[in-house]
Amino acid sequence: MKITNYTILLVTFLLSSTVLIAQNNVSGLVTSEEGIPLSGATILNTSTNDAVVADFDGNYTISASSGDVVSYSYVGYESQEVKIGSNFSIDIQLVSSTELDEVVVLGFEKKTRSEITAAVSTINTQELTNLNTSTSISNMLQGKAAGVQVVATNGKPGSGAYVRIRGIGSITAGSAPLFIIDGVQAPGTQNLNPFDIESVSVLKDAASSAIYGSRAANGVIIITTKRGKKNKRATVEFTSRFGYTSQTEEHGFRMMTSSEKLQYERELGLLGYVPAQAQLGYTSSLNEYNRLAAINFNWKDALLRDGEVVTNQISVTGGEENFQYYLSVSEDRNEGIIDQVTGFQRQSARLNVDYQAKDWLNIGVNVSVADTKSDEPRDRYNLQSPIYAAYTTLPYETEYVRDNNGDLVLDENGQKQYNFVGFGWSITEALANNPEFEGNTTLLANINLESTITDKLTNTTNFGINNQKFRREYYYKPGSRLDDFVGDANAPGGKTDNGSFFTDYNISNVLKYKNSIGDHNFSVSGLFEFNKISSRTYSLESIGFASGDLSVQSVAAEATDASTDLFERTLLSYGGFLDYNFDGKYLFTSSLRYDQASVFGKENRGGTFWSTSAAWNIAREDFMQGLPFDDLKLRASAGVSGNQAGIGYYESLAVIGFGSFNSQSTAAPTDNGNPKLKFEENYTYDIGLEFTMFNDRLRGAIDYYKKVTSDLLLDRPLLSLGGEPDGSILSNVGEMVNKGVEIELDYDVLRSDDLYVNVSATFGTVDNEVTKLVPSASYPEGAEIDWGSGVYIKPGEEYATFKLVRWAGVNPANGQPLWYDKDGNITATYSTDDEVYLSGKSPLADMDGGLNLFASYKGFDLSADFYGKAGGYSISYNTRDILDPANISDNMAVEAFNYWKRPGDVNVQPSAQYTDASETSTRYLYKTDYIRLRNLNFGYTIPSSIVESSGLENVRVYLTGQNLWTYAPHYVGLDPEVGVGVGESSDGEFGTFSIFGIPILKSLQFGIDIKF
Amino acid sequence: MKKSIYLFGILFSIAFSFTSCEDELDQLPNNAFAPESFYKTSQDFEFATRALYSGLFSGSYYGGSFLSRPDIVTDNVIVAQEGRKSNLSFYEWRYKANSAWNMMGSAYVVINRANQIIDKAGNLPDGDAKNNFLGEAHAVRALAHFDLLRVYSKVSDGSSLGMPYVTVLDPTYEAPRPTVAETLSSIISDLNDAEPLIGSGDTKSRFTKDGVNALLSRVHLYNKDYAAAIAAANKVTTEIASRATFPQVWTDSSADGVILKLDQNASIDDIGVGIEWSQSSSSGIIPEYVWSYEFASSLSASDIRLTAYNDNIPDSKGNLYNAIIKMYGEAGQQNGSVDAKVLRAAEVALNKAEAMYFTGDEAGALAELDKLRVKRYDPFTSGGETGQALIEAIQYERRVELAAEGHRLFDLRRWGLGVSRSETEGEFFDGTGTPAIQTARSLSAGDYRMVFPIPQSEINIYTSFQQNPDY
Repeated sequence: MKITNYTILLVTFLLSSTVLIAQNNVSGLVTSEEGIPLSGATILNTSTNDAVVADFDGNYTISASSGDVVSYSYVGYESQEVKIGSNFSIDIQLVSSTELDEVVVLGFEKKTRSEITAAVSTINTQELTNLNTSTSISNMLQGKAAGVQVVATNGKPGSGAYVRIRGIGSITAGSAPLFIIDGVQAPGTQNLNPFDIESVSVLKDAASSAIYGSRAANGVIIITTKRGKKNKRATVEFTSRFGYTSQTEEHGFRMMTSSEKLQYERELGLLGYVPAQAQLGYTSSLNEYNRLAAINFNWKDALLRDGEVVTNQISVTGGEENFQYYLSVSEDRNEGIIDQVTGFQRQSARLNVDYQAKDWLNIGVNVSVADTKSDEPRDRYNLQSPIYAAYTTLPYETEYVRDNNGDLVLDENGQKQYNFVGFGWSITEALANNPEFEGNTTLLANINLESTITDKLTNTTNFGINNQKFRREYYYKPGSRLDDFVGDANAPGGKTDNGSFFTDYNISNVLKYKNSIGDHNFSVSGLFEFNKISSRTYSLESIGFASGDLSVQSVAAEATDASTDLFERTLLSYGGFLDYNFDGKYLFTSSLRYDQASVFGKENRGGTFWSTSAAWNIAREDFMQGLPFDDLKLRASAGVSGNQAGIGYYESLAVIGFGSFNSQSTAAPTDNGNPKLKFEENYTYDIGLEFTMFNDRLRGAIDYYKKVTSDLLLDRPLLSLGGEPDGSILSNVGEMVNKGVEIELDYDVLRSDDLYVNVSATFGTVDNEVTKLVPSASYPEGAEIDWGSGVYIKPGEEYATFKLVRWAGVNPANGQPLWYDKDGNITATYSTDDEVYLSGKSPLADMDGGLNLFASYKGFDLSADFYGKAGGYSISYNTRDILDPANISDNMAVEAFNYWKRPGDVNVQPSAQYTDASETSTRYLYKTDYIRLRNLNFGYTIPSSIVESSGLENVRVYLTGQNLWTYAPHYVGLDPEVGVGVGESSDGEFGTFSIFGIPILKSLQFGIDIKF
Repeated sequence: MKKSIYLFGILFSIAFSFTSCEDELDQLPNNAFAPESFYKTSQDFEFATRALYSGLFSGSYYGGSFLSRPDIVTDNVIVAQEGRKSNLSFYEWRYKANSAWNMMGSAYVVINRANQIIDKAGNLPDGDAKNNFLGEAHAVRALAHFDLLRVYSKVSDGSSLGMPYVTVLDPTYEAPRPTVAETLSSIISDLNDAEPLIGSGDTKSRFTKDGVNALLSRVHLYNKDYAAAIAAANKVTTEIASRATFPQVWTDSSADGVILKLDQNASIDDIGVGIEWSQSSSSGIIPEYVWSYEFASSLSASDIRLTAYNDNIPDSKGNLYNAIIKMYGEAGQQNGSVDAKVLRAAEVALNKAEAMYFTGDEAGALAELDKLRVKRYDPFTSGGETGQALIEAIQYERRVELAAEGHRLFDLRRWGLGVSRSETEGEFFDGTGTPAIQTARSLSAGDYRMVFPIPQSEINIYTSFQQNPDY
């Protein structure tokens, strides 16, 4: 207990004033209704403003005299107030707030759950910080809210994830939801420290998201950061975690050892397969063969490693009556699994302050700075990728040059020499000599002014800014192998520096009038919002470097490229919202918003977005008495929101652009524009039921929704005769429908003094259908679109459906590969004319769900999070490459040994001589259904008796593991969660194929949380 | 209450001050102009004209495919097993409508740029500068259409499907294919319009009178108008490159004998034309296609082209090839970034020789052929060929001189010949290695695949756009 001036004063007062007033100490025990002590509960004497905190056992002592009003409060529980009479020993049982009284942030306002008429899921910070905190926020949302499907981009530390709320909302305009952090739009969520998050609200239907108008069609994720609490003494929380990360297990294949590979080469060479006859397995003498077989170099060990994952975080939060604050500083590091690559680092700091400047004016200020750095490996489908090299480099090649005895051959300086394999490449050399770096500094700041003009009228003004400085450096050192291939012999080495300065500033003002007449409660709000985004980019390239140690372009001999650019866009909006409820039982909400955006064509500048929703709090009706429902709410909503993310800054305009050729300026039309261009429109309706039962033991929500997206932005292709520079005109033409069911459940299985067990689950389905594309004479509903990589978009089918030639296996008579032609007959001729739509097969999962089990017993706690998806498919080109005999000059999988040898062989690989066996077909299309143990957290809270003696309040030690176990029964490849197939190509929809992209990682950390 | 009204007033005035934000809704790009405010001054037209040439340099056109695919589908080159096997479906004649070579996009974009210049030239005052811009625009428009015609049409058959001649500015323009004869007539008329307008300067990186006449000699030859071909060839003043400087033409250290080339700044523009043939490092070459053994061994030791076009370079495994070094890189470089040569005096001489042969003037044809041969062979004595031997000599010189410059397939078609590759000879310098696969050894002159297919994506947009027969 700190000795403050205040305490001294109080003691003095007590001692000196015993005569004046009958002062006493009020003491007692604060517990929950079930008798669990509520340590940390705040007991405030509202008459003297003295405050104390209940200790670990729930006991408290506060000085109060008769007539004082003492209030007892604890987060998640209903506060109580007691007027002190003659009894100075007061035990209080606080009643927990049910889920329906939880406060939910909806963007421009906060409501309690019982007041909400829309479909909103909430996620609390504990669920997020259980995970390895170098994971980006979007990644952390996996499995936390029904209807929110998350696919990790890839396994690179710091990389983000694709988040899709209620299916794919658009074809070209992006389906990512709008992220709002404290009122500011924030795209890059790996720059936010997860410990700073207080809560996340996911606005899923139009009723909740239409308040964001033309940016909200894909849903809105609102992140609110922590704030200090009134009259709470400063609490310091320190977290430190240390652990390792490694690759998740592969599925369904094993690479050959060197003796296996040599044997395979020899076998195929003897069979007459010409490419095998150029390989060492066939051409070597017996001695040489044996020498090579003994090498068995482990390329995965040489190129990959277990990376360190470290987190350190400290926060201080507290507050008095008029001033509350939250301060945090943190550092995250994740080395990743690629040797020589230092991985991802983030340092961030935040200060959130609330100050009651005047009785009618409350000022809130949030400022945070986050700096991330990432050492980038080349993620590209060729020998330049460390992952590709780790799997496919021949096992009888070594990393460094060795002689026939296996000893290193050193160069004249006594240094190891890189062994250049394949067509002359060494990954180890490339990682050392071709570094690439990306860094981002994000400043998020906002000032919130809340003025209470009268007790019914409040005005909230918010100024926010999101400022990001991004930079990238890419250097191929002089004398490096890459320089040899692509560099200028007279000016060796090359450096690229590029980056951007991005600013998003936002001003919003909400004027709200709230009143109650009898049982009629209502509020009306008016909104004004202005948003401007400005992006300045630069790019510089030079060649001619003297040494690989110096990479700044001032030392370069010749500048070869320099470019800067500036892009700006604005949004101006007016809106009105109406909330009405009768006695808290019958609720009605409505909103209307008018958005004008600079990116819309001149003829379609503005758009109107509306929503209406209603709810019935059935549990509050008299006829519900006696039934086990604590809360039961039926709600329905409908509304329109828009998506403008797909429209480039100046896309509606016709422009003549400038270029350079032979160091001279050129000018030519770059686009003919479209003055009618507008946002995509989303009409969503939703019906849902929320309930809490059995004395708050069971909580849940079920929703059914249907979302119709129209005016889809699609490139209407133009015949090349017209000379349109990009071959198409962006128009609003298509239509798509998503519908599905969402279920969220939370059940306290056991609640007793020592043991608490809770199970919670989320589950969502998505049924997507494209209904209209670009209409034409031969296809009035729209022609199919080849989206690349084997997926197509066609009216009547699911978005991104696979259209492939169907594989029919191997002919047992001669080992020939067989396919089905388009009529279903078996043929030995491969032709892309036989591609058919595989209805229902697309990279997008039809359903996903999460399951969380939590148990605590005395000081121990265990939490396990599972996440799974079903109904998605993906092509594993990894598998094709490691089975295709045409790649015999690389390492292959042992399954390749199982090739057809004699008539009658079944369940075999095709005979090597048939090169078209590896043509794209369903042969390598696998179901990506999986269940993953996403997080396992096992901890022990050290008993308070031991902890308090050292002046600490709470100490918890724990082990936390991420992605420890994956079950994917159908998939053959690196990992069934496929984001981008490979970093340096973006073809088609994500998840379509996988070729040796950076695999998903698992990690295990030991951590300690200290609170004092 | 007074305080409330006071506060209310402040808030309202703050709110109204934000209404000036309405102006912010009109955002204009910072890196481009609207078309209405461009094409006004001579400098605007200079920029726009340069864009014609940069447009020709696109990857599916002179920046790569156009200078490689017409040879890849023929007997001039052979695929190297050590390479990335790029363009293999072209080498093996497996291309179809939905895996077609699409250079229509690049070509019609250049044609659109030319049409913009011709349409807006009225903004300039009359005079030489205006005429020159118009001349260049007409010439480039004709070139692009002629290239489209050679790729997608059977130029020797005037009644077969040609390519639409676009002279209007309309991004949504659609038209069915006219006949080859109609297209050729528009091309020739455009070039005839260009000839008096264009200047007779001696720059090699832009069209000049020499360029227009050189192109006319080519077009008339294909059109079988031999007298006109000879007349146009006679107007060309550029001399054939001398033997001594010839190798430097290919490393861009000399422009001897070049009439028009697309001139890039190799370090800045870095358009790797030569990457279609190979990529290289100091330890060896990664070959894609190399000279076929039959082609390389036909080069006599006295032929400068044996060393200017060909070199025995090893790959990282020590295999030697007859590597194509015509586009290897500027002097001392290996990155394949060289200028694309479009028109050369040597071709004009060959056009004239062939035209003279077909008018019956064999002596004239021989003399013209020898004008080229004397600058390539040392020692040289004329073979004195006549009759069939003469036309074969002309065809041989054309094959060698213009190899890997985007001519071979079109020449074979014009002569009514097919493609024939060796069954036994492989890709290594001595003829060993892997020969062409069985299905890629011969293509008859009448095979439908001698003409490339119209990309299916075009026909999907405009179903009345006719596909070539048998695709």
